[in-house]
Amino acid sequence: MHHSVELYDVYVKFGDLLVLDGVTVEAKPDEFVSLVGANGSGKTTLLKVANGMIRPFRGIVKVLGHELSQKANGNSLRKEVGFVPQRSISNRFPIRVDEAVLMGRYGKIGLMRAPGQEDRDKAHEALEIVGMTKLAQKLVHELSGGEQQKVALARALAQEPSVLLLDEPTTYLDSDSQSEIMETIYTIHCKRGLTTLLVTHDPYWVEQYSSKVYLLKDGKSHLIRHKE
Amino acid sequence: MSWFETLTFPFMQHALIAVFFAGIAFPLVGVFIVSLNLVPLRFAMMHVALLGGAVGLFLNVDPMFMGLLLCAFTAVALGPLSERTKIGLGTVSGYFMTLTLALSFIIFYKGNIHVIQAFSILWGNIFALTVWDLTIVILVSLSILGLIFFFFKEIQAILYDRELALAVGIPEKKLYYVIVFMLGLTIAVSMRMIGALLVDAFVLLPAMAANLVSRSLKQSFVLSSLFGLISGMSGLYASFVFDLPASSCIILVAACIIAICMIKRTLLARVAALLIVTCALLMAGTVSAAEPVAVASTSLTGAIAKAAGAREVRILTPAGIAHPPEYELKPSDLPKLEGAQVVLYAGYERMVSKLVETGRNKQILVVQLNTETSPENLISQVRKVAAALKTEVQAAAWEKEFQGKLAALRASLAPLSAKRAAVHWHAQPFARWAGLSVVQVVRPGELTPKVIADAIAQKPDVVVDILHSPVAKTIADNAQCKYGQVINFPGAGNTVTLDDLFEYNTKELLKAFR
Repeated sequence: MHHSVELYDVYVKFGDLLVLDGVTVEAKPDEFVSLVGANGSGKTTLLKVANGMIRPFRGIVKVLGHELSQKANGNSLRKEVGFVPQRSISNRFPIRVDEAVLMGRYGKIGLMRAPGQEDRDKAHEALEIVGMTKLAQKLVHELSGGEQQKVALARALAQEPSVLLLDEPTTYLDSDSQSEIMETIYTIHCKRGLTTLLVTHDPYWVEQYSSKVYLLKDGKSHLIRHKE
Repeated sequence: MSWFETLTFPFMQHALIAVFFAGIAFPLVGVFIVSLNLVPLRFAMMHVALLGGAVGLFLNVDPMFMGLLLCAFTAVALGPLSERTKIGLGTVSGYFMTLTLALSFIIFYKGNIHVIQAFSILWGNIFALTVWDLTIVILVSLSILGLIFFFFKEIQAILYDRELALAVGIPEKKLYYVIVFMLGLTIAVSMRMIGALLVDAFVLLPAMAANLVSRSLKQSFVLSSLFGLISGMSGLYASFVFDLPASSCIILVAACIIAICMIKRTLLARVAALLIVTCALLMAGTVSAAEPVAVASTSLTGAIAKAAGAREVRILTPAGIAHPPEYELKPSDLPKLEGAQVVLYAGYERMVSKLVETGRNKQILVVQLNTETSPENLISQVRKVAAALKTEVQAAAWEKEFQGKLAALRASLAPLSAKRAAVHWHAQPFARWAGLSVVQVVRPGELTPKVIADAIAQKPDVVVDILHSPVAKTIADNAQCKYGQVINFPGAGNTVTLDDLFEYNTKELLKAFR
């Protein structure tokens, strides 16, 4: 079976700082891959490389068998990759929760087309999955950090991606919500046959769900666990 | 003349159409600025426009056109440049701001350009819009509306979070560059309308007010347009009724709207109604029309008209303005043109020629005068005006009297004959007539060390500066010599006529030596 996400010998530099120093990571469909490592080890950078938001100066990045370095592939491949960032939104931009989730559909809808009923249904379904339907009409900036994280996850799910990139998706959640969200993510992962890359510091989730674990250290990747 | 009567003037119609389109569309760009925090870009554009003005004056091309052209180029370059250098739009804007300012001053200096003339590009004038300007305003406005209509969801995603927009597969970079380009263009066009110094308030304030009361981007866009339209239209009207500069009135109304939005959001509907009612009430106000006579752009062209024998002279520039050519015409000046037979201007004023071009009264005779203040030139200009007014007899009588006065004044200046003088560029005609030996001419604008050193080396007995834009006091201080200021435009010391002008300048020069 071919891989859904492939990074081969990838190098990324920010100024003089070498953040990724020949990293290689592979993830097949259905695989739940965890990326662990200390702060600043390049985990978030790796996720951003995987959906083309950061371009490496050397190495090969393939998503769903297509090279991301080819310009034409960038936006069309990103539509297949759901991304949940770690940070919450701090600006006071006036946008409701349901609108923010619907945004996950924008790439697939295409330019100059308005979202249809099907898109709204999928956004609503995603909101239901993360248990946020009651807050659908609230403004995003009025929500807590945890609730905003659920909105980000719902947006990624509404996108109906083949690949899900999660950057510490439970950071701002209480412990009950953490379990709830992680179980939801894993259920969707299994049900939709996704390729999931999870950045986390929590050894429990690593142990519980991961079929593959990479440790990032000094800019290099080490495969420390692989369950077939 | 009533408000409705003024609407028959093409330039008032242009202003209204421009305010209508720009009032609706430009605050939409303000929403971009507020959401993407692009305020520094506006400062950069202002200075780029100044450089364009300087280049235009240097190359003898329309400075406003050059300003727009440079702004458009900068708007295209800014987005990609900030992305590639990874130093942020704010920093790149700062770089452009300082670089263009330095280049502008070099061009002012080397091109012998009057700084005030170049800076006039920053002031704008909504009543000086030509058909071409209006076309640009409409095109830019429609482009903004089109951009938002066709790419609303993409813009929404980019304004919310650029990184997320990219992550969901939107061509974020290209659209962001388009947004930055539209923003630059809007700022450049707004400068033409109300001037760079007030442009951000015109574009930003309605968006800021809308942002305070909106619960969605759609609401933000709709309300900012509504606020822009209200502030533009009522500002224009208030300018007419209260005899105030239009741009300031537009800003004041916009500032009131934002203040009200900040105080209590639920009052919004009532405030809009209140503004409309206020405008309707004020519409009853009228100003009386004056009798038909000659119109002069400044006190100097006015003095020439008076000397030529004009029965009544209406001067557009009010008394007390330090540098009369800078005066911005207001709607309340319009009645002065009603029924006028002749308009006198020098050519360096910002408004007169355009006003006459757009005036409905095609019977107005427009006469351009050379306003160099040497007696020979002034007499020749008086004859020119007299020929236009058919008042040659009165002009001849004035000329005789004037020559006599000049002879007496010249005699009183005899003790200063051949005194060494460093003279402001615009004070040369008087200094030479006064018999001073002009050893150094000081150009308008910022003094350089070389100019100061050269002037000191000439060991002048006196520095003759110009009251309207003095620059040479430093030379007098360093050369430890006498210092005096003369005038080219009557006004100071209750001067009105050309005779007064020479009498005042003679007294000032003698006073400097006392």
